[in-house]
Amino acid sequence: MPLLKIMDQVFVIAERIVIYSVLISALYALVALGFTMIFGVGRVLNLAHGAFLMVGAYTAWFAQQYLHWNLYSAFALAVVVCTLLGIVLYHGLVRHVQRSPIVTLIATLACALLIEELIKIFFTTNTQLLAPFVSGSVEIHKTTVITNRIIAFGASWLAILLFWLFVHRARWGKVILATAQDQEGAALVGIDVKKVYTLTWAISGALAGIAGFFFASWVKLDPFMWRDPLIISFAIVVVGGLGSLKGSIVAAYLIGFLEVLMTYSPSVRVCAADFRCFEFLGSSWVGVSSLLVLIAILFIKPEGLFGRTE
Amino acid sequence: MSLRTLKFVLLGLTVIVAGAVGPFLPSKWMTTLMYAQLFAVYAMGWDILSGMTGQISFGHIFFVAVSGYTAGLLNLYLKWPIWATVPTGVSMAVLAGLLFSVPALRLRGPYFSLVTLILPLAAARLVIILADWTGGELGKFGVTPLCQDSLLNTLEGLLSRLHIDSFRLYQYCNYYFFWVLMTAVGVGLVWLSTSRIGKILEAIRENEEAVEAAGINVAKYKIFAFAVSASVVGLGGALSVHTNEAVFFNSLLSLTSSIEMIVASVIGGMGTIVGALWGGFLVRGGEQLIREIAQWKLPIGAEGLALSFLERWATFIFFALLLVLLFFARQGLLPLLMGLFRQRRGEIRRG
Repeated sequence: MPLLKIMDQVFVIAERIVIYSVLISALYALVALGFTMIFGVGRVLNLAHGAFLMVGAYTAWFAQQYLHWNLYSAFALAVVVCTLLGIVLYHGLVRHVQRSPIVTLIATLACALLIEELIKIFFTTNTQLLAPFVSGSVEIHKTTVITNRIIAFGASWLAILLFWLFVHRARWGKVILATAQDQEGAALVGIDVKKVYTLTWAISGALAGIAGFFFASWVKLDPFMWRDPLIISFAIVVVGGLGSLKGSIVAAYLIGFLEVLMTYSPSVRVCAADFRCFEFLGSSWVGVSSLLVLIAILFIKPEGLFGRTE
Repeated sequence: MSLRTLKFVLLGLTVIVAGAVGPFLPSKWMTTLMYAQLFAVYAMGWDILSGMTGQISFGHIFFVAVSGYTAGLLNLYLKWPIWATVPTGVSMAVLAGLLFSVPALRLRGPYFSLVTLILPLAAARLVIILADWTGGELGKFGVTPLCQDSLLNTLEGLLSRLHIDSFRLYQYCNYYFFWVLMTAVGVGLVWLSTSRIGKILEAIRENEEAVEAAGINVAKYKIFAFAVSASVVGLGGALSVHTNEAVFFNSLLSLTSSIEMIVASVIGGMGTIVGALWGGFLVRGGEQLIREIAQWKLPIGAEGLALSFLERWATFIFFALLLVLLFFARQGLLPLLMGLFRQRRGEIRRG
């Protein structure tokens, strides 16, 4: 009998891990999508991507908290602001330094730190919470799931599908794809590459805005929240291959699953003789899996880091 | 004058100025310049690897953390004395550098930089998970001070005639300790960078394939640069823990410091070592200057309007300035001066 009970417990935990990871991975895929696209099309690693998400999250929170907008308009505002930010960052900064990848990295990282500093100045370092679209929770079999997370899951997939449709069906989407495949070739057949870049930065900003909104209502807001999404994006790009949408989604599910496995597994408290302890697994291990995957790939297969060889 | 002599002269002048102004500095600025000297050591350490070979590391603070936490925790929990903790910390940093350099050698350009960015982030996670030992984000006090009372007491009798109180004495001790460190590291790295090894490292930056084709083992030199860089930065980290008498998360693992090392070197001139040293002073001194200005009072109104808004904006302004410098002064201070110098000399010769 006790064995059956233990089995039952294990089953409940396994079920919870599966459901949670399916939900959060969709959001992770959305988080990485804009980052992957900019990298795939322009070979630019945008280290300010996480900061985009943070700007989206804070815009929505500000509109709701201080301007007393309803959540839908706040969401729309966040997307608009992030789109504009993408365009401004490209034209004001990245366009001028794009030729040197190192300067681009330093400049975009400096931008992320600047945004962090601005948020510290205006909103302090306190943790804030964003109201969910729908409050409450639902039961799926034996697992309790917060309703808003299901909405985030749905919205993420909707955004990903729309993006996919845009890239493969719409004229400008095909233009982006062509530029990603061969820049010079695209320029030769009369595509305005500068315009394509502007468009990719705008789309990337918009996607980050959506992702930021849901990321904030999933976790919380603070001036350091840009780091985790950036690491997640980077890990997904490394695992999933350069600029590949399908690869990104598979990688997002892999990393999301590892992440949930680490955070929602029963944690073990390891203590030394002097009663100093640390948690093995559990909530303090958020983000560790992405880092571990990255470091493992670095050591095992660094030459295959970005999939496609050129 | 050969390049090596010129660099030694410039280094010598800087070091003499830094040493000579020490006694005349007000207490606040003495602390600032003490940390500026430490930071100059970090910047020079970064420069010998990234500036010389062109492999830009974003995560050099990782080596500071490895060495600093090793030294600090060994001292806190196992009560190891300073002469044991510092060498152990440095060896751990070198070990980490070697371990990391082997797979990192296969990465080129931005991929290398990105991967280095991950290391301090991973280390930060570890420090927070093990917060019971490391003190997490708050840090942990109680590390043995670098300038111990016994040492100060012996000097006090000598210096009491010069009317220096014990707090000042303590400051002097730390200041000149880092002055010696900076001088030693500066001399060593300028020598190394202008030696045959330095030329090979620079050649690797310009054209790796050509160096390889000349029959030189590129990997060997890169690994060597990694080890030297990690040891220099690690030495600074381990000693800073003993000066602060604590392991501080913010001074051992801040992402900002990692970026500031790059900025210092870029401002001063990448790959010039002396330039990185100047950059270190400019960065830390500049930060303090903005903070000082923030405390000025404008003679407006009865009470005088304090520029306190500047205090909140100090870091922001600083980063914005750095971004501007990164755009317009990418060449760096030292190469700029040397260019002017050469131009002048050319004019004189022609005239």
